[in-house]
Amino acid sequence: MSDAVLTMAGVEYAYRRTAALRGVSMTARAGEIVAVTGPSGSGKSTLLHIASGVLRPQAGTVRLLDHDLLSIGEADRCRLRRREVGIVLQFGQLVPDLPLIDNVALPLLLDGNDMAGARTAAAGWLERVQLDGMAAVIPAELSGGQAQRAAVARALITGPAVVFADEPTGSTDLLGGELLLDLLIGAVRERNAALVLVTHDNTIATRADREVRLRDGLVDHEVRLT
Amino acid sequence: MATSEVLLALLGEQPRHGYEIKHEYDAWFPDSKPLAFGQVYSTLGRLERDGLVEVVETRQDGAPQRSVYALTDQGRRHLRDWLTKPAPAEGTSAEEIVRKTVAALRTGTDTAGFLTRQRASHLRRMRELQQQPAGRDPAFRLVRAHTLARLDADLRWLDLAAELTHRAQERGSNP
Amino acid sequence: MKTATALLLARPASTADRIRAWSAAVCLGIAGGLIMIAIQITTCGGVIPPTPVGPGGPFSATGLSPLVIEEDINLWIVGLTLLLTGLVLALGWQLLRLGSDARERRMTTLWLAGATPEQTSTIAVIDSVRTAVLGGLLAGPAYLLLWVLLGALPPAGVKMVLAPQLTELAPWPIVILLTALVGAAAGKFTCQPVISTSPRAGRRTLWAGSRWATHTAAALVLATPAGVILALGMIDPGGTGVWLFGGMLLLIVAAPVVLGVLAVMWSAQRLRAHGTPIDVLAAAVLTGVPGPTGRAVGVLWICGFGVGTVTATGGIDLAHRLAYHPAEDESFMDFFTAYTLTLLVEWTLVGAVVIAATLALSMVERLHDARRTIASLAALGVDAATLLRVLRRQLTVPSMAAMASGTLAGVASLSLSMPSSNNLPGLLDLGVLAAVLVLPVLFIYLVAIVLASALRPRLRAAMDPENLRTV
Repeated sequence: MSDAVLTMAGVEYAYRRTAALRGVSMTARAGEIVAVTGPSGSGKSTLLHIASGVLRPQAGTVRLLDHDLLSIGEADRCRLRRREVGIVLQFGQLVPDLPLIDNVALPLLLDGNDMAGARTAAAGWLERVQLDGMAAVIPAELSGGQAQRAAVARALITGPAVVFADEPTGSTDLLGGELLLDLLIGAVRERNAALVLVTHDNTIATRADREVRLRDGLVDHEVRLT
Repeated sequence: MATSEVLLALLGEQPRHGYEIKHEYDAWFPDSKPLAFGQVYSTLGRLERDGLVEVVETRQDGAPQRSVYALTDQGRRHLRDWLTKPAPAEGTSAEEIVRKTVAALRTGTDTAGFLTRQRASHLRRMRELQQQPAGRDPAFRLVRAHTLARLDADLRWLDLAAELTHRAQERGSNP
Repeated sequence: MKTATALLLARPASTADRIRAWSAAVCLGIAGGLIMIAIQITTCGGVIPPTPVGPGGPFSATGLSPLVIEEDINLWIVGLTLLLTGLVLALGWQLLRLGSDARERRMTTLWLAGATPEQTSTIAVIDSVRTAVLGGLLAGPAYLLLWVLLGALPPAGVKMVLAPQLTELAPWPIVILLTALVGAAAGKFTCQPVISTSPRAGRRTLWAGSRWATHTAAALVLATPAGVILALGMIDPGGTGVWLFGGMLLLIVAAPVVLGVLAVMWSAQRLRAHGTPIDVLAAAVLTGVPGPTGRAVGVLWICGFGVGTVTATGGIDLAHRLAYHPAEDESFMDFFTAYTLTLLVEWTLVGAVVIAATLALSMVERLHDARRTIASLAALGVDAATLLRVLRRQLTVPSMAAMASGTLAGVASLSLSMPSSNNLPGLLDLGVLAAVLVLPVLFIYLVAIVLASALRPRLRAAMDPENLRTV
């Protein structure tokens, strides 16, 4: 039984007066793929943002890779997000006027690696996500699917132990979405990392090992798929 | 059209005679073809033979004799099983899921639980199919895609059903 | 993060960013040059004793204008120069601070990728320091250019500065350092990443939650010493220069930040009470983020002050000269010529440029800050023409009020503090005063109209529903 890489307990979050999460508990283990589903407004994206350290919950605890996200400082959370956690959002993630190769290499660059090494690694990943030859292109010139694949490459370049993905196939077409998921799941399985996937699409949810279904800011039920 | 279990559900609320059964059925499924009396009585006969229903009284108020049917203990057990276990995802017509759900709602059985289980069954079946490679043959890929599309459609309906049930429960009423 | 990385990430990549950076550098360069001019003018004062008024006028061998030679007026001139420096600095600051969409998104995406707050801060600071140092480097050439404008071109008797010597370039490195600090401060305060998963979780402004009480208190705290100092200056003519100096410096600090915000909030209330739908919309957008508009309004107030000071007395003197032809010695004419040529033209023209630029920047900033509001209004069916009118209204109401009151204050304080002009105002004087008050205000109105049409493409960009999308 592998250890839990993510443990959330009693997490609450509200935007001004609207409660998005009203006490959610969830775990994810190494090598596991968890799909978080639910109707819109159920709090899926908020859950993901809290689990990855982008938002701070107003109540509850979040343990990510043996770090208590609430007690470590902002700088440490950022470093965690850079090295051991990968995030893939639906859009708006790549730095707008940076060429693709630098975008993908960004986590390595922010960590203090030298430019040459980081760019070499990024080139390798661009090839893997079938974007080789687009190293100098800027994000504005990419299609939705291409941008998402670049985002996946960036999320995986530091070899994270946990990857969070929020509707990663949101801006892609059907076949592009399949390719994206294949790449993502393949890479995650390869290194026995955990993948927490927020989606409203059942066909994507079925690719997970376990489904956590939210409703109205609470966990409604879980379905074990393997 | 396998209506036996639905008749059991109709009798699960209270004992009824044939005429009442037909009208209740039509009220439960207003969009479908009205149930024929002949089918009602032949199904009732079959259920009686199998020991799932029994005649509890025979009314006689000047009108032609009307037998009132009710569930036997075996019948009650059979109904409970039907409402608890999810329908197999494969080879099941969509109507079966609808019938079960309506029956569960009408008889006040744990609908949410049933829907959860049915959803899980569908999800697992979808996953099974996705894991098996469809190969390159376009015809087979099409068949596979259609099966998956139907399962997805059923799942979306189940999600909707869960949502409506939940909201109705919150309001404290029973549809 | 290696230096190379920081430099890579701090580079402005879009054309708009590059233009913005260069404009900010030029502003800072001019401000630096002006500071060096001010220092030079200070050294001119009192060094050459004022020659007695004679048939040839108070010419000195250097050809310097008597305004610069006489000690107390000299300080006044230096003060005005510093005022102008402050204005140009404010412009430069606004440019440095101007949040283009690209910059904001860039900071947010960097943060999402795992950049720590220190790292985003560093990157933003490098970006602005790079621009600022460029501006500092431009200060030297700007100083030389200003010397040409103020020292070489003007005929003898009107010159403001002497020929530059190498020693006068000594302040240049200090200026570069100062501009670098200004850049660092600007970068530090503008690197907040914006992350919102709900359209309602918007960016918090500097003045979030603070309202009338806080602003009024801050205004009193900052404005009282300035007012006291100015009043002392008026009462005590001997120490006029120093007091005016100090008062003016305080004004440069106080007015943009606080008084401007107060003025904006006041005008927003008045607009809301008006009732016209356009006014109400204008009020809504104004109250959202009063900071930048407030700053611009403060700058305009100071502008008005400067313009009032300079043009009023010049205008009055000119009017008197034309009307009465007094049997005075030509010294008056020479004095007046020096006055009009150096101050009137320079200051009014420069003032006009600064006003126009400030208004333009304000509008651009407004279009950026309020883009979500504008996009929602556009989605609701408000058309571009109406929105333009709203923007113009937003800008002109507080600006014209600021300009008028600043001009009035300038005229008043100069007239009261200059012991020479102590005749009671006659009809001619009042007529000139009225013109002085009305013309700048009219100017602002016209500039606003021109700007509104020139910025139409930017408005269209702000109306794009893409702005309603959140990260």
